[in-house]
Amino acid sequence: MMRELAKNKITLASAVFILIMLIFALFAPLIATYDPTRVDTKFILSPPSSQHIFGTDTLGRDIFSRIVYGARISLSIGFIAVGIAVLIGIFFGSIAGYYGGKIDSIIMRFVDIMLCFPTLFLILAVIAFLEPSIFNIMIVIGITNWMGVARLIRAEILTLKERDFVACARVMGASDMWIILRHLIPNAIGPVLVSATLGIGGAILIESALSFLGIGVQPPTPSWGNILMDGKSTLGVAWWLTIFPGLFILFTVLSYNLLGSALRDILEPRLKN
Amino acid sequence: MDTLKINNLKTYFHTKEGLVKAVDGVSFNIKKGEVFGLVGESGSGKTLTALSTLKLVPAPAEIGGEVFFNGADILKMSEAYLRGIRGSKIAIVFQEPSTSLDPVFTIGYQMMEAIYAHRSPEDRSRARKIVLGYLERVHMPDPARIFHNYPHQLSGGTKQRVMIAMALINSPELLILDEPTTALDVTIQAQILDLLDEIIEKEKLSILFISHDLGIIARMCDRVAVMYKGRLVEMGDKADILNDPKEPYTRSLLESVKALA
Repeated sequence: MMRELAKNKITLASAVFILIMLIFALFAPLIATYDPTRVDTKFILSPPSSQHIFGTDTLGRDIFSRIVYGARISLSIGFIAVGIAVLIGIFFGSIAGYYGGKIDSIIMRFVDIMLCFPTLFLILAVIAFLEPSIFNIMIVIGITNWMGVARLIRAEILTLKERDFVACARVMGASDMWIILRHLIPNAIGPVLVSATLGIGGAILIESALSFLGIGVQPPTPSWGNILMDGKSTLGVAWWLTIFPGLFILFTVLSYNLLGSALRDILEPRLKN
Repeated sequence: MDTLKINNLKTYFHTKEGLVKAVDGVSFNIKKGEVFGLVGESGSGKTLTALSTLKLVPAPAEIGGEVFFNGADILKMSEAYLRGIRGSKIAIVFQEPSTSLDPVFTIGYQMMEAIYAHRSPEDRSRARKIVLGYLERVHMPDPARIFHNYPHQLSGGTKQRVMIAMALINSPELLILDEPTTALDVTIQAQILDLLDEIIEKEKLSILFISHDLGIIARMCDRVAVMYKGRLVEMGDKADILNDPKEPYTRSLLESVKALA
C-alpha cells in the first residue's frame, strides 16, 4: 500500500507534509524557537524577521513557536475526536448490519435523527453549556461525527456476513461477538480508514473554527484557530498573524483530504469503464 | 451406541410463497468409526441436513425432529452448548476452500483460532506447535511457511488440506465432509481422497460424507443413503446400493453415471 501511495507525487507530498506536522507536534520543544507563551514587550506585533521567522503577536509571542505548539493541539484534537467518532460508528454500524431487523431499523433511525442536527450549532450549544476545554472539544466533535462511519460499516457488514468464511467460523463454534470483532470488522475497515483520514481534516477545521470564535482552545494555549482570532483585529497592520496559521490549517486539511482520496482509490477499486 | 442418530429431521422454511420442506423427515444413524455416504443431486437437501444437525440454518428455518449425538438430543440444547460442540466434537469441511478462509488473516492465525475457541489454557499456549503438527499431519510441504501465508497465496488443494487440518485439530468424533473435492481438479481430488483414506484409517472417527459423485461415494463409504427432494429414498450397505438398487430413483442415478462412463 505504501508503494501505491508513493506513486502519485501529490499524494506523496501530502504524506510528507503530514509527517512534518506530526514531527512538529511530537518534537515541539526541540523545534520551536521560543516558549510559545513567552511575552516579550520589546517585539509586539513585529513582522517576520531573522529573530522571529513568522513574526510576533499582540503580546510579543513568537508566532512560529505558537504554530509549532499549536500543531500539537490541533492534531491531537483531530486524531482523538476522529478516534471517538470511529469507535461509536463501528459500534452502532456493526450491530445494525449484523443483526438486521428491528435493531437495524432503530439504530438507523437514530443515525438519521443525528444527521438532522446542524453539527456546528450543536457543538456550539454544547460548548457554551460546558466549559471549552480541549477534552470537551474532542468529545463533542467525536459524538457529532460518527454517523458516516456507522453507515459505512453497516453497508460492508451487510455483504460480508453472507460470505462463506463467516459461515465457516460459525461452524467452528464462533459466537456472534467473535465473528463481528475478529472477522467482520477487520474486513470492513477499508472505507472506515478513508473516512477517518478525511475526518481528521474536518475535525481540525471544526476545532479551528471554534477557537477562532473564542469558544475552543483558550489562550494562552496556542491553537491554529486562536492565533487566527488574534489576527482578526490586526489584519490591516499584521498580516502575518492571519496568513501563517491560515496556511498551516489549509495545507494540513488539504493533505489529509488528498491522502484520504488516494487511500480511497487504493482500497476501493472501481471498475474502469 | 451410535455416534449420530438422526430421527425424522425436518427443516422447513416459511416463505411468502408457502412452506418449503427442504429436509422432510430424514432418519439415519452413523456407527462409531463408520463412513456414511449421503448421495443426491443438487438441491436434494444433503447440505441442509448436515447444517441442521448443528442448528446452523438461519431463520426463517424451522428445525424439527431429533438429532442424537452420543445419546443426547442436541437439537434441544442451548446455543452455547452447540457452540461448544461445533468445531470440536463435530466438524464440517465444505466444498469451496477458497472462500472458507478469512482473506485478511494468515493460515496460522486462523488455525490457532480453532484452538482458542475450544481448548484448555495449556493447549492455547502451545497453539502454534499444535497447528504446525496438524499441518504436517495433512502432508503440507512446508508447514512453517504455510503458517505465515495468507489464503490468496495458496492453491485450492492446499487450502482444502488446511480446512481438513482445521476440522481435525480439536479431535472431533464426527467429521462431516460436504463435497470436499468437488471444487478441485481431478489430480488434486485424488490426493485429497488419499489423505482422507489415511485419516479414516488412523483416526477411526465417524464420517458423514456428502457427495453427488457416486464414484467417490463408492470409494470412500461403508453405508450409503440416497436423498431426493428432502427425503431419504434408499439406504443400505454400499455393495447393496451400488449393485442391487431397489428404488427406481437410485437405479436412474446409477444409470446416469454409467452413461457418462
